[in-house]
Amino acid sequence: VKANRLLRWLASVLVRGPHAADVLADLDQAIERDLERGRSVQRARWRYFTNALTSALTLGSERLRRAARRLPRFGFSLIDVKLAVRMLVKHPGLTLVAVFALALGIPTALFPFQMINIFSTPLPFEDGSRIVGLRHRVVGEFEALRGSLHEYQTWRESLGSFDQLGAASSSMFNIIADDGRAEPWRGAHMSASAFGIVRVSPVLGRSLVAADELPGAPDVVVISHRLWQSVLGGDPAALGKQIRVRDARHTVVGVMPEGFLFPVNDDLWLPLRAEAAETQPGNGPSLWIFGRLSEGVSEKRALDEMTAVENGLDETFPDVYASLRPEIVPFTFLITNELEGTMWVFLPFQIIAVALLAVACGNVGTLVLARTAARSGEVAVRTALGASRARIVSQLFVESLVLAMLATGIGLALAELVADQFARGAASTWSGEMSLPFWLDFGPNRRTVAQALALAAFSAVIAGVLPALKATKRDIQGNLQRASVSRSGIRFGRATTALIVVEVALGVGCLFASTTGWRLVPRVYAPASEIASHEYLSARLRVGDRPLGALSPAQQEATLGRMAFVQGELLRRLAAEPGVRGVALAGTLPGEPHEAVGVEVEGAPGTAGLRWVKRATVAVGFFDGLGVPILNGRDFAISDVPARDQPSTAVIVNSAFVERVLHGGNPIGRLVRYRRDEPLEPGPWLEIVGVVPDLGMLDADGMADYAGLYYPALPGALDPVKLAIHLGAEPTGFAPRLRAIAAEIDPAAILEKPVPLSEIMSADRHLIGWLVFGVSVIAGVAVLLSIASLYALMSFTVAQRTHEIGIRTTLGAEAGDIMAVIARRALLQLATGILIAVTTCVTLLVWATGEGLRLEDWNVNLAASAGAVLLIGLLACIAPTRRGLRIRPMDAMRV
Amino acid sequence: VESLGSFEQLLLFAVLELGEGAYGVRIRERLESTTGRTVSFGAIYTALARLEERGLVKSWQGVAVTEQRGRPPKYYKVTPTGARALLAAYKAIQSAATGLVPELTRLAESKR
Repeated sequence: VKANRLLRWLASVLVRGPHAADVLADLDQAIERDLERGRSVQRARWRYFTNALTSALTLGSERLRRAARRLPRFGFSLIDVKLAVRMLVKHPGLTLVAVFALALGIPTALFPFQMINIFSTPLPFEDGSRIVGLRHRVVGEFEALRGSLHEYQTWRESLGSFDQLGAASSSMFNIIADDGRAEPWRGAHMSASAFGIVRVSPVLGRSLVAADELPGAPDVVVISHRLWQSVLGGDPAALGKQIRVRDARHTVVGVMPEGFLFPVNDDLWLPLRAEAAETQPGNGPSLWIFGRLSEGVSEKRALDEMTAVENGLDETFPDVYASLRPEIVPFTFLITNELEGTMWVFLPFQIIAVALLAVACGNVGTLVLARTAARSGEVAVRTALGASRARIVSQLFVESLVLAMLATGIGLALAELVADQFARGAASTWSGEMSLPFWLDFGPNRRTVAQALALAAFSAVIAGVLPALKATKRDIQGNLQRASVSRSGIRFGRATTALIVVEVALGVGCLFASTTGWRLVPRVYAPASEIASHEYLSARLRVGDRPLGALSPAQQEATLGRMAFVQGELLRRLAAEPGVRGVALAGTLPGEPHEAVGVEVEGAPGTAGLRWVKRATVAVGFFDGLGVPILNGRDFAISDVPARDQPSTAVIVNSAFVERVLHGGNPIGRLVRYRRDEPLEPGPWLEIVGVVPDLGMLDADGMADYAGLYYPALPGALDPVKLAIHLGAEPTGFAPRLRAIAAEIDPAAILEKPVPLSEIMSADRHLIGWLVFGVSVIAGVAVLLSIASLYALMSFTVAQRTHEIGIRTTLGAEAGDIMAVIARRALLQLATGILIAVTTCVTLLVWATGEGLRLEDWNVNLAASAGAVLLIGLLACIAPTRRGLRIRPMDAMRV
Repeated sequence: VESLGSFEQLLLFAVLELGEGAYGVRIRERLESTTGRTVSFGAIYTALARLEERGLVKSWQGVAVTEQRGRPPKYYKVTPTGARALLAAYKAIQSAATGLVPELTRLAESKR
């Protein structure tokens, strides 16, 4: 009874290394002696097993330790750097290609990191990282809530972990000049304490004080530097002057320093006053609540205190607080609320970006390898003279590190430039309610630089150390011999081949994507050409302070009543305005992303008949206002909309709906209904009364025109409502007049983004433009690198096979045969890469155009991209081929 | 004089004690009986190999004896250098402990 076979096999597998035989023999002996001493078989076997396992671990780690000791010791010196710089100057072509590739590759790889950096930087105030946000999260859900007045008051009274607590809510305010011109500015109702929390003092006058918050206190306002410049002309005597904010005159009591736009991008600050009813839990405006952690108090301790307070709240107001859990976050997360949870989406991009960089580095590595191959004689001589392998590897590493550092410097400068351009564009496209927080700085910061340096080191390892290890692997004798015949023992292996194929495919794919992208940019988020969209002024009109969903039923009723009045009055006045040819009102305008609804067509019941289509709610007269013909049936009539709470039964569909959902036939009179999730009953049957052309019912990506239906609404049923006013050329000139009219009707009504209808989604188009720009950069790098690698591969082939070519020529080979010898492999790689790219693109595009992508002529683009890469690839082959053809048999024989 | 870790000291004492019969299984049994802890063969051979590299022990392969089964064991012996190192280590700990044992015992036995 010894160790059974399984145990011994296990031990022999586990225990490896120089002492393995001794250990295994001893294990066998030990189990025998254990049994002799009266230990049970099980016990002895257990001891055998644990002993084998721990022996394996010890022997394994010992082997690792010894292996680590054998690793080459890398040493750097200034002379390496000097040699590296000399080498870069000596091979300007390689330097240029490599620096270009890395200078674009490193910032590209940094981009996702940068997104995270941007959103996690602290506020740019004294000790800004100690300013934190307080909020609730719904237990078990992903949703974070803004605070209420009740929470603000409770926390302010009971929490000792904070120096001060503050609260703010941001919205749009009309500032109305004496001549009636109205201009919307973003401003905040903010507690006086907030100014103390951020520790910023006004440049003129005072900030808000607690007395301003009392009911009945005089109306005062603190304004931003740029509002002071723009509205008051920078008047040093501005204090005490009055400006009209919405319907009331406010006295200016202070001007904040330039660049202070706290909490988001706000230009005026009004005291936060609470009405009694609004301080009930779950009522009142939604607020950002924030505070500065007291000296020496950790976030954790503050959260513990909050949790203790929360237990009291849970008991007193279980229906509001029981399902909530308090949390403390960096202040910036309050504003970028939704973004914080979605940070992980950058992770795959990060992985892809770094992988792309690795491919680029691999390619630079190929080039470096080719150059190192040319220097293998030098390497051999140095080795023979006593240089260790580590010494040579570290010199080659320093060379690529210098290259990568140079590229990183250029790359960061480029990134700064691009970020600057992007920020400028962003500031003009995202304004008002959509404006970006003032603290967002897109440029590289200290963290970015650190990450860039890490990536540079990473690049240098891939591009320098791996080829260097490969180049120094050969024995000295062999290399010395080869050095004497000016040939190298280095070969381009399978990895290099794969790399070139991938690079060519990537080049074609990205070139196609970027050329197509540039053609798509003007077409995305655009209303269909049926509408003369550049002749229309579009704008968003809103009367409520907050979204309808955030209001109580009574407040909703009041808001919608006001909206109905404002809309009716606006339509009446616009009709009387000279130059206005028509007005269309809708919840969503053509060219914008539309909401999706599930519908079922009568006669095709069950889930088979369920189709997802787009929906827009439009006012009666919408199509007329846009100058769109009714292709079939009739337009909506006032009689289609009985009352606000009574649903209409008429819908109008677009051509795509007739084609893709109804599959042709006469659509008039057919019935459709909304389908909701299973337990809910389907909606009532709706009758199709008309068909209109496809006007641009888009999805979030803005590319495809979808099947959709239009649903009629009464004036005042929508807040906000979108306007499209037909004016003719230069529609934006009408914007000030439109603002004045709206402010006259209701001083609190906010009119936002008055832009031509063709520009309604310019912000998103702007983003797509940047995306295409990024793809173009990658395309450039990919094409350049693949070409450079092909060139290197061929030059290398010619150099290596000089001898062979010479013999072939002697034996009477024709020029064609020689060309085949030289170019076969490169051409094969080129063709494979292009074929892979074309197949992938065709498959994707056939699918995408079937889904409604507005891109009919992609095949031309694809052929052009593939052709371009093929042509450049062939051009790269010319010089090495000619060099090969020029080889004279005598020259080849001489070496 | 070479410095020694505590495991190495215990190992050298065990080899010394076993005299001519110091090989893996015996050494392990000796260590287990003096320290009360289980020790793996892997740890023993690793430590012995290091000691041998430093010239503190020497080893030789045993001869196969007919009645023994399996591979003949590898025997170990402490070298004079090893003995000097062990003696130095022992003296060092002894002189450090001089007069402190009662205090140490009292402290170790006290409750807190």
